[in-house]
Amino acid sequence: MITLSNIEKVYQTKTIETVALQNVNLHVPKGEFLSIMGPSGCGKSTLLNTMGLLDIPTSGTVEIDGQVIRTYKDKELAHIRNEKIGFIFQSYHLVNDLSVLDNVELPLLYRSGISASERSKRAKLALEKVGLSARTKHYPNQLSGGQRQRVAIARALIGQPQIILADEPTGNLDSVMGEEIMNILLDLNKVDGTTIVMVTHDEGMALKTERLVRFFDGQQVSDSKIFDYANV
Amino acid sequence: MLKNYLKIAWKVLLRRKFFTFISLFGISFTLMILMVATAMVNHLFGPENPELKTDRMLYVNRLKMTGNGYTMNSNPGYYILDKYVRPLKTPQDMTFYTSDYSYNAYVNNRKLPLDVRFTDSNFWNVLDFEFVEGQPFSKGDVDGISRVAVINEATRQNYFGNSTNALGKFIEVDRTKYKVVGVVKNVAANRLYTYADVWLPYTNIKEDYRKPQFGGSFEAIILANSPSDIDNIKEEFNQAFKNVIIPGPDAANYKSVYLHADTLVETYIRGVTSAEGEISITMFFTWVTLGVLFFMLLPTINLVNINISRIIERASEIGVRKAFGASSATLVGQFLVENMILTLIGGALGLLLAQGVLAYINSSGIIPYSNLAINPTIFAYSFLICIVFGFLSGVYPAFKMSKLHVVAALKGGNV
Amino acid sequence: MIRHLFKLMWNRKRGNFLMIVEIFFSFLVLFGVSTLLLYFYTNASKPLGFKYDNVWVLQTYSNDMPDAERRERTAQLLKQLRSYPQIEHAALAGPNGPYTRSSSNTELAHDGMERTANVITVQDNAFKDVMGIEMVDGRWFNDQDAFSNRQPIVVTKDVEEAFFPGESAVGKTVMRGDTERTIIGVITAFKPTGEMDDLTSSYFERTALEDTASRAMGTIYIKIKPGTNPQFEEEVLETAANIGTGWTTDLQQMPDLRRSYLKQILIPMIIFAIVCAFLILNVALGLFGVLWHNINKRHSEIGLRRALGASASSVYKQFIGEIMVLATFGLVIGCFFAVQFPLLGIIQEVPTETFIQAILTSVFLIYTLVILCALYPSKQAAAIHPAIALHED
Repeated sequence: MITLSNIEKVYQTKTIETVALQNVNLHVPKGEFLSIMGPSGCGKSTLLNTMGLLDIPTSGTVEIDGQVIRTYKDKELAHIRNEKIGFIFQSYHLVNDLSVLDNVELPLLYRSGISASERSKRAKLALEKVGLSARTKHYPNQLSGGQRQRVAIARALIGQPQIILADEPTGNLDSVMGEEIMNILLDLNKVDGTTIVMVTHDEGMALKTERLVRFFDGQQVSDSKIFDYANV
Repeated sequence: MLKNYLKIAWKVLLRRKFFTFISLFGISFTLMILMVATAMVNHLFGPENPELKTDRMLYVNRLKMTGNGYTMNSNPGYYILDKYVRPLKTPQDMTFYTSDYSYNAYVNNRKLPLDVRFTDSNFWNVLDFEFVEGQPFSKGDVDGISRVAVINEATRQNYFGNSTNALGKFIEVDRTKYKVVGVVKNVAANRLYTYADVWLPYTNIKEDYRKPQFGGSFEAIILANSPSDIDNIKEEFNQAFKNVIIPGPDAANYKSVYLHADTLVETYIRGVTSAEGEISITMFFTWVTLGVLFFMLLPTINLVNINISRIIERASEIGVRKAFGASSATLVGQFLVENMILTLIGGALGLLLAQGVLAYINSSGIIPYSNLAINPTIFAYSFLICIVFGFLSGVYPAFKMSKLHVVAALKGGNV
Repeated sequence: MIRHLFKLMWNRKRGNFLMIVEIFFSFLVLFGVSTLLLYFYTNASKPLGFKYDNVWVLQTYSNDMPDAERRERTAQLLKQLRSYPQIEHAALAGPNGPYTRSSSNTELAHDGMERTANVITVQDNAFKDVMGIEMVDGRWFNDQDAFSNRQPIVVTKDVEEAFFPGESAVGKTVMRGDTERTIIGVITAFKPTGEMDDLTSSYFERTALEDTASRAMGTIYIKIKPGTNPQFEEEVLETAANIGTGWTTDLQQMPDLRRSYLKQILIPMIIFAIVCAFLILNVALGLFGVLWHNINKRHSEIGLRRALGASASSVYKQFIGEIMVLATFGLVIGCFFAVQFPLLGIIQEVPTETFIQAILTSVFLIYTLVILCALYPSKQAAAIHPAIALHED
């Protein structure tokens, strides 16, 4: 589903050159739930951004759903993100001035040919999936952290992406809420077959996934299958 | 403490140059326009050459007669002034003279338009003309129908060239030659009731100005003993006009006669509103104040908007200060000082701009012989305007700032 | 997307309240200025109906001269003036010719309709030639008209169109007060009160100097041959003084009169426009600053939208769209107040069409203004790198 080949990412300022990713080769097959761990500043987020086409690698190629990304034209990248990728963030990134329903609808606004009624129908379905049907008219600041993250997941789902990229989705949540969120993600992966790449600091969460890749200083240091995945 | 405030304020202003520029632009231009307007108003209504005693002067210059579907607006004639105004007891002095006539003089085949007034000799006592040379014409000159003239400096320059001495020379007005007996400083054309290029004894008027009819082309200025006497004169004046008998053929067409002794401001208001009764000055000033406030509204909202942006930008700084024990009052005080400094800088710039605009108006000849300037009174008003402006634009943002929560502020949240 | 922006801006109305208020007041200011300018422009675009070049106005005041002598001398003066080779035409008429600041109007009525019109009394047949008036229909006055009991008048085209739409007014009668007037001719236009005035209708009536029953006129309109030396003015005045002994006379060139007339209207208008332009510029700078600042506050939202599939150009469009929506809120309130003017007829002189044009112009200007203010900040917003923006909070 996602293939990274020889990815290198260098941030250049006037005085310092920082290497964020170095010689990364990673293949994420369709339907896999992959977690990425590593200390702060190891390049995890850069890696996720590169997969999500938010960041352009200095060298190397990204392949999404069998399609090698050769163009870096903003419009086309935006189109691919919209069609194929859903994002979940640690700090939810909900728009405070929009209701839950409107927040969930957002990705569909950037897709042409979907009517307003269709948008709201699909948003309601997505919210049902994360168990928030009762909160459609609420505003983000009226919700708990776990509820907010569920809204964010619904938003990631609504476009029916093949890939979900989650950047520390449970990072801001207590263990109970974190567990809840994790279960939703696992469900998505198993039932819908969505490919998920999740960056996390939480070993416990990582162990619930299929495969764990560790990063250190911009390099991939380990890659292991987690065997009791099926039993969770 | 204040020194510290000033230092911080200065640094803040330098830090956000673009916002500072927008604020200064708005403040300085708003204040400039207000200062120019104040200077204009002062030039119109304030004591200016030759009307230095405006606080003791009443102007009589607008006659209105109505009846049978007819309305007539004109200047009063000599007859009505002589018959009803001259006998008044309370005034110290009064002068009758005509509104300005325009004539063309020809100098070296060049057309020279002249504004001419025919006056009595009291004109020179009631008003304080500055004589550059010579002296006014006397009662004897008026009674003896002398062909004598007082001219202004501009006419001396235009008519006699660069010579500084025009006394004894002759100036031709409406095909009659008059001997120049005095030269006065130019009077600005916006002094509607005294301005002229040439002043002549009224006995030289060619038509029969004494004929018994109320309308005509005269006006009068009544001088009171003291400013507090103004109301007494008005009362006696109105009493005198209670029972007037309209003479001549006008009696058939008109029933009511309206003539008023107004202060200078009141004459302008009457000119605009063509009111028949007494003028309410309070009403007028209320409207003027409302107008000024309306004009200041937009720049103020603009400044408030920018100020709020400035505050939000500094939210985390404010949060830190609060977290380390600064009280809301201190912070609000600091902000108000900062805003006041900005306003005063803007005011100073506005003052400079206003000087420039006034100099331009004076030199452009839009108002002939105008001498607009910023005097201490206008400066004081401008300063007051600055303070009000600074206060208005600072208070709301400061209020918002005092409401800022420490935690939200530290997170850089919304105000 | 538009619905989305409306929803977003509506929910942010508190935060954007001051901007909406600013836009509202800016609209009112623009509405005021554009009403004024359009009013004058509309007036000025209607034909004047006469030519002021090389026309001189000689005012004579006979002072205390007996009436019979005055009439005789005036006739003599006219004859003398017409004999000059420099003078093409000279006409005796009332004092309310073009730009003289003297005006006289009355109501004409026909078939229940009333119309205000300038009245100009002419005392010979030359006025048409002096002023270059053009006939559309019928004829100008002749000497018999002064004594005709049909009370002949010549009217402007718009009077004909108002009273007799689609037909010729020549030969028809209209009422002035309770007396009847017969229209003998129609002219293109005649606006003696000047181009900025809204009174377009005029009519002429003819009296005769030798007819002691009608008042003697004292204003002589003179058409000078082009290229005449300005010193000729003095000669004209000399002639007037020699014939009219004891008269007071005043000679003005019509182009000068026009210049001072325009100055009197244009100077206050220019000052007003400058002050308003300053207010608007001030608002524009303020909006620019505030928008710029707001965009800095919304980095994470921009990053999020980019991640969800918004391209840079859709972020750009969103920000432009947002300010247009805000402007719409301000404009809706503004238009509510503005339409009261024509609806309640607060200013009678200004026709409804002018108000509507002014509203449309102001709406257009406000949208243009806010878009211009938003262009640069929106470009900045679009240029924000999504990956960085998302991790900035």
